[in-house]
Amino acid sequence: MASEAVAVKIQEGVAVDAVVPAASETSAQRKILLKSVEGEEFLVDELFARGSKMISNMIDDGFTEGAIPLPNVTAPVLSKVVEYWKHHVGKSETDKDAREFDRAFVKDASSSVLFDIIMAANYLDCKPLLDLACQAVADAIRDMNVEQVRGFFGITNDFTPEEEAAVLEENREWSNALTVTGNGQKESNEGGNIVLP
Amino acid sequence: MNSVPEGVVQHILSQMNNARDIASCACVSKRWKDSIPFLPSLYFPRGVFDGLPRVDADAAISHMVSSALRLEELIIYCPFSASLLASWLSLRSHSLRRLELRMDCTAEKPAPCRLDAIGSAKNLEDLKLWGVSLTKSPNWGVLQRLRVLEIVGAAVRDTAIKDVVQACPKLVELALLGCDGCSSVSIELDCLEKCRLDFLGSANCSVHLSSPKLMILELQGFSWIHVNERHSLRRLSIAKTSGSVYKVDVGKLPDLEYLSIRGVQWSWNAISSVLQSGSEVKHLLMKIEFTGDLDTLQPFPQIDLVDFFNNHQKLCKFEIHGAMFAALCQKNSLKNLDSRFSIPCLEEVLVMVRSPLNPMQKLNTLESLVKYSVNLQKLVIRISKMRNCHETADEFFKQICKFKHMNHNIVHIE
Repeated sequence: MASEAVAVKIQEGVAVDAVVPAASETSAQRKILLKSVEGEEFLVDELFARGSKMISNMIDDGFTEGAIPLPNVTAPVLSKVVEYWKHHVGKSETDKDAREFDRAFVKDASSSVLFDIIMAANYLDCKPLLDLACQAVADAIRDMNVEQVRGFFGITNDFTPEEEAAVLEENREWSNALTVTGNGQKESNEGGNIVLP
Repeated sequence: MNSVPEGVVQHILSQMNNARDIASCACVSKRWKDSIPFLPSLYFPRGVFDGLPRVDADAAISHMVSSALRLEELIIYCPFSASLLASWLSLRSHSLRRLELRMDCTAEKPAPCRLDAIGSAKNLEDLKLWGVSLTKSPNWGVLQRLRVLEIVGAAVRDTAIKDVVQACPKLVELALLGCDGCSSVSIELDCLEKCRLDFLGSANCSVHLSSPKLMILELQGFSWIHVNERHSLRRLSIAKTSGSVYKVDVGKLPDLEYLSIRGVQWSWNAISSVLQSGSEVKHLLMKIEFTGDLDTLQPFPQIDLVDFFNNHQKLCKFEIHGAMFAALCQKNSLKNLDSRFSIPCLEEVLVMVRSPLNPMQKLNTLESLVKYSVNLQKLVIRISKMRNCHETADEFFKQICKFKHMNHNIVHIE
């Protein structure tokens, strides 16, 4: 049966509960409408949309009419996520094209784009994409000192001066790595375009 | 980024394991500091504490190990005081699964008892040790969960190896590389699937292996090899870079896909018994310089081409070097060639020619390979290391070029 074959494909590519759709159309034929926060609509093959566990659960719960609203995801980010699904869903983990796509996907991504993808992947429950984006961010902050890390993420330092002194003291053996740069003024790097190595 | 959910911050931080980066992150903000205890992996690179006194480096490692409440993986390449290992490992024995240590740079004389500390990491699944001293058996009790063990560059003794193996009864992968000091190795492991043993030293060494699930075996440095015939070998590689291989006993090899035999000298019995057992092999590499049963080096006796390929019908990839190739090019090597002969599966061949002697016979053998191999796609003739000061060298080159020209899709010269 064609729908069974598709269900098997889903299992191979993405860790999604493979449920054979009850409808007479196979999921390969059916398309799902996704709506970004701005109201922009994306028509996506059901197979790919199931790359999101959240969407997959909604489909299984019977949400097949109209568009699925995604109020936490903007259109540019959603289109990137759909691109990711197209290159990954139904493919094996070691697929060469998928890996090449991943490399290019994160290569010139700015930190703000990466954060958006992380938030979207977290909300949509798409673990492979979350892993990819988190790894890219972790790689980006390698070898940074404390101030640089704060700048990259746009994080405010919420330690009191005493707490900050205590934590620096705890990690004093690393003192070279951790000191504030320059003359003690906090540099901020407003989450700008940081090209990943 | 301040509004990112807790789990996401931890997820990002979990992708890091460089201890220096983690120490940085601990100072970024309260939330980040609170995520540190959940990180699964710590890696201390080689030079991370360069310039720092030992006591400070030890303190930094101690602090981070005690902060990482759920530590699963600990990798220490930098110098550390081995006496602290016991406290670190017993502190994290519940969660620790992977441990990798460089021991060759400890300041104190490497005392064998320092390895005892590893016995307290009862849930360890993967252990790699560099530069240890295994001259006395470490007291590990039994590491029931250990599946992968790799020891590199160790000074060893026979009994110590035996006891280490007994302490890890469920090993699936074992590698003892660059080890020195053994005369006899005996390994009996029910779950072992992959085994690599590389022993240095010119003294003759023997190995006995008994592992019914063994699929991949790589041996270097043994003169006597006995593998219990109850095994599942798919890949077998036997090498001896100095000294001789006298006897090889591996039983039948019905599932063998890859066979590599290399060395300076192998006894003819050893070579023929392995080649006979490996009749189903698909990929074969032969690179032995001399044969001879005693310590006098002898050239190879003639190998009959037809016999050889009839006994290895499934051969798909074939690599043969110098002296062994010359044995295939003797006066009567081709005497059994007839129209019924064919080499059915051979697709790729690499021939390394060391000397230009007997050029016509070598050419005949090469031409026969091309003529009788119905599926041959590539024949590479490597002459880059050839001794070419002999006067037949010119004739040889001329003939080889002609041969290549006539079979230019298939033949390549390196």
